[in-house]
Amino acid sequence: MLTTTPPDLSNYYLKGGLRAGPDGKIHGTFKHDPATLRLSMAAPSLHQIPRGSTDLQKLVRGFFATPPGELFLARDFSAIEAVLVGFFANAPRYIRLSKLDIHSYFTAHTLYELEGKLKFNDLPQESWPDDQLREALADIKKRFKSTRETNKKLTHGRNYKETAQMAQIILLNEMGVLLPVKSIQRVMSAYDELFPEIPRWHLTLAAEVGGGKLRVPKQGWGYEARNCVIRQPFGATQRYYDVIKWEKTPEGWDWNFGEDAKSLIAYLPQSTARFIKTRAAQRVWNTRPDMAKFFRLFVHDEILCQVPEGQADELDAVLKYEMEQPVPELKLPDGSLLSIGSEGKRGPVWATMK
Amino acid sequence: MDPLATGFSPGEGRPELGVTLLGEALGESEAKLGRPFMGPAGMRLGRMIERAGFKREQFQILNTISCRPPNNNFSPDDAYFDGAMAHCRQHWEPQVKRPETKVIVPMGNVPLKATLDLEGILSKRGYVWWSDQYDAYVLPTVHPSYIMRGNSAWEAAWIYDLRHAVEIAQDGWSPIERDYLLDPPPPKAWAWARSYRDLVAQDVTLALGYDIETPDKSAAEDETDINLGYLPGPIYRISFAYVWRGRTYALSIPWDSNYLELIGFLFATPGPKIVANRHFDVPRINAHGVSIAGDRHDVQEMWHVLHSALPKKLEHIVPFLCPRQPAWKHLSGSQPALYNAIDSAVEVEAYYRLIDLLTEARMWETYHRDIFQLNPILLYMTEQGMPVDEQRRKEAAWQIGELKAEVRVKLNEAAEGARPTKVYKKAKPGLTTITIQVEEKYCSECGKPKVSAKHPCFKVGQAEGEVPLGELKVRTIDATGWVEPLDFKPSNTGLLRYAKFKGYRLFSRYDKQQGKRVYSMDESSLRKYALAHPEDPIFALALEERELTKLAGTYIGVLTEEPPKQLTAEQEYYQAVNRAKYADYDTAGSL
Repeated sequence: MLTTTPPDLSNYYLKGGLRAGPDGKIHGTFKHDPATLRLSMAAPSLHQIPRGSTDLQKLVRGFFATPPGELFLARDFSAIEAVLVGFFANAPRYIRLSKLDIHSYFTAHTLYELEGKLKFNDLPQESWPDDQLREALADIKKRFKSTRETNKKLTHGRNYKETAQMAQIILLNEMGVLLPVKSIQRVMSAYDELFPEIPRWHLTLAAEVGGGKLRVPKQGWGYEARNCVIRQPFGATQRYYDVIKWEKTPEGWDWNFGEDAKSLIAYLPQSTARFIKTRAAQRVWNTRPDMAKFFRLFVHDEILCQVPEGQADELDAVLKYEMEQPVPELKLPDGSLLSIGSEGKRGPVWATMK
Repeated sequence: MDPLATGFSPGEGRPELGVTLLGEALGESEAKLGRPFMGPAGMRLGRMIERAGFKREQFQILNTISCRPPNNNFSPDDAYFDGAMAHCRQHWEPQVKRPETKVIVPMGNVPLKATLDLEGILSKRGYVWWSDQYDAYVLPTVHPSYIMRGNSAWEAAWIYDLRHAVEIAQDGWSPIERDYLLDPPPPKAWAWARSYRDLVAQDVTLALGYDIETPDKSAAEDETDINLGYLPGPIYRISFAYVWRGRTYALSIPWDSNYLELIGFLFATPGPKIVANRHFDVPRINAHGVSIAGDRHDVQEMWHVLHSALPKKLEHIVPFLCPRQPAWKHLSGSQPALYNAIDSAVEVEAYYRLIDLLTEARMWETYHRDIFQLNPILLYMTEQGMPVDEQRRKEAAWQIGELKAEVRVKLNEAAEGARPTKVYKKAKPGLTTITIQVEEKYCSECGKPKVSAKHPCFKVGQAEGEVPLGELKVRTIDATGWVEPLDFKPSNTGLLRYAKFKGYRLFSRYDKQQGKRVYSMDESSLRKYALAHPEDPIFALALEERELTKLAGTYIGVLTEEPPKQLTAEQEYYQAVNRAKYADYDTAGSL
């Protein structure tokens, strides 16, 4: 990145790029286009602008800045999709680890089992209390940052039935890392072994919606599935017709995952996450209009606001309270309600909020 | 018929339910077995029939072409297309003309052309036509193969169409009748408006559909170029419709000063207002100073909740929601007022049907709470906008420009020796010289170069009886050339040429559209090259250059000393329409 001071640019004009309205602001329009009913944006889409942490990627979000005396304030659900995968897979340990930091936990296991870089005695244990485990996972995150980042991509893909080939392309494009397909497969297999509830849930869901015979003990919770139809806890429903494909084997006909399997598996957590976020925003809108007036953008798992500095703490508290409310639609088998944690950040420039 | 065509199938089955399914041509399995729909598409067809609640044996199944075309390919571009279509009519037409067939279901573009002489199955599917020629209804739908090619969501449409066809075969079909008031004088239009006002006073849930017509509407409508919604883009017509006691009343009027008060009057009524694609209509109406009272529902959004994987354009959803509405989109040029009135009529009818369907599917609450009640928040955020610091944006643009210039220099350095060049035959100061080969004309007799026809050796032969001494010949000689190295362009072609020049192994990837492996320098490939040749910076630089170009062009903008042209609102509007015309449409596709 350049460190030299730019010349006087007052006689220059901007051509192209994101189109601003007559007030100089960018007015993207929200739409409900995705099949998951997640929000999308158009003309222009602020969902598509680079999110990366490099200086270059930060340049775009770096020109979104508040006037003096105001701040951007954002609150983001923590690991919402991972927690929801655990919910739908009826895997309480997966939910707990997702809330603590499942990527570091899995990374520790790959470092021990696949790479031999960690000793057995150094593995974080699920039997530890939350605080001890969180601390150990934070240490893993700090020490093995790049391995954790790679594993994070792989586990995210694995949760949605991504193939090793596709994961290779994603890693290459998003992280510039080229791993052999075989080593990706090894990591994914290790993941399946560590969290067998997830592949069992995939098989259950595919069998239920695709109409195949269930080959594993049933694993799933919190949704309605029947032939070709899936209904998530908030009532949104989607149809999938090619969830399984039939193949002839020496033992007769058997099924495998079909073209729609990945979309089906991703549908439940992705669509549900959207509803958790918008319901929280709606509660703020209905109960605290004085705070909701600061809303500016729903982007990914985040609610972004523009707020006078003096009201930032109050707004953050309101957002945190509503976003972390137990979700009545997500009742766990033990009768308790699932809740999702959130993280806040703020600053006068979108790119550098902390 | 082409001698390379194989197999023959006359079709099979009896239209027990009154429906004949008409496919395209035989595939490999069908040609071998002499029966229609026996391969993968046949399996899919059978499964869909069962999912619709019927059995394959209950339908007559025919093909438009009774054999397997050469290379399994059959499209209007083929030389034998028209001939084959005409020839094979003798096989299927007599069968559909039998009185047992009440409804013909052409599946795909080929049978659509053969039965109705229409094109574009995706916009025609689900609509009902009467055919005098076959004495039957025709209800086109998509081909099972299309559904199998990554369009599985269309299975829902296919199943719906088949059920509808069976229903029509059993109960018949007639187009819906409505009361249209088209381009009435203002007093009559006011009477219509007051009728609605009186009715809505009795029943505040009585919905009012509306639809505007604008220049180039279809293009902009698809793209929903709402960013310019604040511009009072031209509207030349508006329609309104409501349903009262099972009958639809629709009004279409010009958007002009004679009717503006009436338009405002109708929009001020308290009943729900129904539109298709609110992102297009609402901002434009508002920009003309007209506000809209009452709850606002968008039938496209309601439909999207019900069937979120299917297209939501009005002409796609109407066959599901208003099954007695014949195709009408073709009327836009010839009968604009009627066309416009039908738009709002189907919107308001669809609204009521969608309430029933969403309720039946236990999804009304989802729509109402999570779409309808959320929309005001989304609209608010759009209106507020995201603040931009113009100075920071300019600085970002300047940084990008500087970085890009640096990358260009590095690219040229890295590509030294492989850069494209321009060679001059005349001296150019500052350029390096090389030896080049040039062609030169000369006299074969005396050897003098650069000679013309007037050269003395040639003149000798011009008098009668004299033989010329020499003739004009061409030879290749070495000469001095001046070489100017050009900028290395990190384009697909430039980088592929570079990789070949360096003797690198070329990476290929499968291109779905072309159906074959291609050599590419897309982002993934560039990363592969960069990792395979870490000593060569060219690929990493190319990636950087592309990222910078995208950041500047798509997001930040490029600095220029030229002030932007001040466009009128109308000019800006038309620019947006033109952009929309060339934008991709998410449900586009042909068979």
